[in-house]
Amino acid sequence: MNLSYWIEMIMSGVVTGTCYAMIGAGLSLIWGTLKMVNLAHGEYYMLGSYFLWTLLTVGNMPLIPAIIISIVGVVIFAAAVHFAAIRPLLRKPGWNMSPWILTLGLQILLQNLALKIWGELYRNVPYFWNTVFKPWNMFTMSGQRIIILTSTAVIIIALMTVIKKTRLGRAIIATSQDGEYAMMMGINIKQIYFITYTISAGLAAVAGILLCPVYSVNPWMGATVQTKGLVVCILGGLGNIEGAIIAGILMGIVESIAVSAIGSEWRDAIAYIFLLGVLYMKPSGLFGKKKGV
Amino acid sequence: MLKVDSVNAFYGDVQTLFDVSMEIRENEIVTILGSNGAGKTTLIKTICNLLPIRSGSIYYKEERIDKVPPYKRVDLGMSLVPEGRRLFPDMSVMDNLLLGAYSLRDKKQIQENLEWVISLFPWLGERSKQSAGTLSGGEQQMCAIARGLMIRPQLVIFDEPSLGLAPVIVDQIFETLSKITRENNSTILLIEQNAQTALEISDRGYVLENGHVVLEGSSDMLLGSPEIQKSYLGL
Amino acid sequence: MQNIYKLILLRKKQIAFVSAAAALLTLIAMPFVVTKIYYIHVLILCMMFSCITSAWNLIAGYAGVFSFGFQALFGTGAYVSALLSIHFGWSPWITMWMGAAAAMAVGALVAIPSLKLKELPYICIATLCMGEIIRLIASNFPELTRGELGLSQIPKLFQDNIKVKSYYLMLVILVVTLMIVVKIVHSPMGMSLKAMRDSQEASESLGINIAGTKIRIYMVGAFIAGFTGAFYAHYMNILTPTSVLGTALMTQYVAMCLIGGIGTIAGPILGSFTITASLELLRKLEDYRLIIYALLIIVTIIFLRDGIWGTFKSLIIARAEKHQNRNIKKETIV
Repeated sequence: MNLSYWIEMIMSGVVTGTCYAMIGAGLSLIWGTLKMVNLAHGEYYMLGSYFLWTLLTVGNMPLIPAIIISIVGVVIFAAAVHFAAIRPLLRKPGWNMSPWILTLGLQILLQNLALKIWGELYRNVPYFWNTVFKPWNMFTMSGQRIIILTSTAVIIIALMTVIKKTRLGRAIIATSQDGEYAMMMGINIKQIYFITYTISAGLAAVAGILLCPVYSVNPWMGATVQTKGLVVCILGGLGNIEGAIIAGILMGIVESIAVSAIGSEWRDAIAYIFLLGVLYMKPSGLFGKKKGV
Repeated sequence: MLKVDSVNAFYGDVQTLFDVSMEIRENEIVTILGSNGAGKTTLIKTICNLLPIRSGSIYYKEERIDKVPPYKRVDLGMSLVPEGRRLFPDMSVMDNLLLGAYSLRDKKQIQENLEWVISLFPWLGERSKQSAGTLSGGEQQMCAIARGLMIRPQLVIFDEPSLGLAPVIVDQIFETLSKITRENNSTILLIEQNAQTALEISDRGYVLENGHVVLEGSSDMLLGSPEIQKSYLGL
Repeated sequence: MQNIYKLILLRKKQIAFVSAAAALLTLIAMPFVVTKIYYIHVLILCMMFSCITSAWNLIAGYAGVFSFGFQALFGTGAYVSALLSIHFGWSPWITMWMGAAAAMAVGALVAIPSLKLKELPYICIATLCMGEIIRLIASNFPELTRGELGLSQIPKLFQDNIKVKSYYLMLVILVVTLMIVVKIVHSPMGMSLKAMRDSQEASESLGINIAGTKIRIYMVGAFIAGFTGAFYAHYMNILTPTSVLGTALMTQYVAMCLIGGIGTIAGPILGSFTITASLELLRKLEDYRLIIYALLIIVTIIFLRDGIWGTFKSLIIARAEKHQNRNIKKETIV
């Protein structure tokens, strides 16, 4: 195996890794603020892809409007889910298993609705940019991967800026660290829950849209990505966005190497084993979280 | 300014406050004394609507606020410096302070308030980038107080500010509390176990025991009363 | 009115016993009343799910170990029993026990590491992962299990193929399962379970060996699930990883348990019978099965968290206790 093979493998891992990072960051945000594991997060990833496919094929829309409408569509859908299911549940506290079971139900519902609506055939979305590059004549990199990399970089930087430098970002962190007292600062935490939930769904949708030309669209794609999102989330430390980003890229690279070594039918199993490993090795993540004072 | 009228509160089925009534007038410093479990923190939670009341009412500036959601308290000019400080540990001192001013939109006003607060505790300006979790106990308390003052509140509630702090720092903090009333025209509701120092700076006081108000009066009267001297001053 | 409530409180045990006996007699009589073989099949499925849900309720509702990989135990029992009887020619009547034992072993393998994790969401994630890994193992080793093509021609339990015999066998399994569940719930182990449910710290300070108890309960539940799985294998005569190890199965037992009432004995059975029967009889909705299960889960968890039976039970008991207190007050005044 020569150098170019290795570089391609790692580059491909980094590219998918940034998408995992976005998904994991969203999961981490929801886990941190709403204190729930959103098992249905992968389904927003799937919906992003399906919306794009539908708009492109059935709607015959040009690419850029289709992408924008797909993202907006998923965000609006997530908002609806938030009001219809999440808020009513949060109004009835007690029983710590209920958020888990709710999001589990949502996951199964959305996955099977997609199966019913779009059928079980794997769908294809064409690459956004049909060129292939050969940087320094050392390895090949498709235009699609370059688009993914630049998009995720922009979005991740924007996310980090919002979280760290803006008033909203401070409010989100405050809510995740001490929701009760955050209210006394004037933070409307119900609003923060809503914003966090929809933004995270949007991030997942973007990841779905960016990756669907590479991996094809099917009703089960959400479930597989969910596991990886959980790995990233836990590895990076719950509520820790920078951690999630690093963990995401790491996950992408490791998966890339493992798949080329063992074979792609084990791709899902690798994710599950990784998740188990992460749970046992470092439940507080590589980057942990300090306790409140 | 703040009037608590026959408030009854429950945690589940257990009653924690029994017909509690009290009044805090403008520009006063009022202390609430009581040992652990007397119901002091429950009372604060009901005033802030972090715990709903079963019956009774709470008035702020003549208006009922017991049904108003907690996050609107700052808009009313009410601020809470909670028990145990509750700084946001992974955020810097500056970010904590800025969060204190979350409800303010005017950048100039925020800047002015920041400068006032730093004038009270000058070291905040030098160490603004430090992570709040790494401050010492006394510094955290001062930071928490500063955060609570960022909206230049009219009513400030201090829940056990002296807890776990060395006497020298406690004196410093209580001195600052009197300063705040003078400089900012604030009203202060002070919850304390440290009866001596608390009563020395306040005008009036209430004593809570097992959820009941058992004694009330001016600070001088309380300092002189034999019950207080026995139970809370260790004399 | 108050006399009825007094009666209910005093005679809780007798009422439960009489209702259970009545239900049992009804089930025994069913094959004589019902003529269509298809309905017998539906009832067998109802009873089968009752066993699975009762077992899951034991570990999740009573012991608080919310395992979302429980279906792997059902599937393990099924596959082990099927494979042993196919490859070694042993009678299913023997291999069923071995399948159950295998499930118990797998259960221990799952439970012991899972309980090392402190927080509940982590236990849920870990068990889900392990369940899926087991499914993938079955799926990706076609030399052993024939993967998704399906393992077929599994030896039958009754050579004459009379379904009614399977019906009565399943009924026996159900009755035994319930006896085990009742015994555990009312035993000292069960009492400590109740304590664990209410407070982990309290029971730790009382010196009850929590992890050990949970693992033992888990293994009992695993055995029940495995045995039921083995029955399923020899009853249906064909297995695929998705059907006996997949998350669809997980959705079903979670939904049934939830709707019936987690943490009660009758709840899972009620849920199993109502849902299985309704969905089988509404065959037109076959495609929408999982969607309906999902909606049921969502609606129940928001509005009817204790399930039908659980809510009913707590309402009646609360009313009865209120009446009782009123009576006590009257007596003390006099």
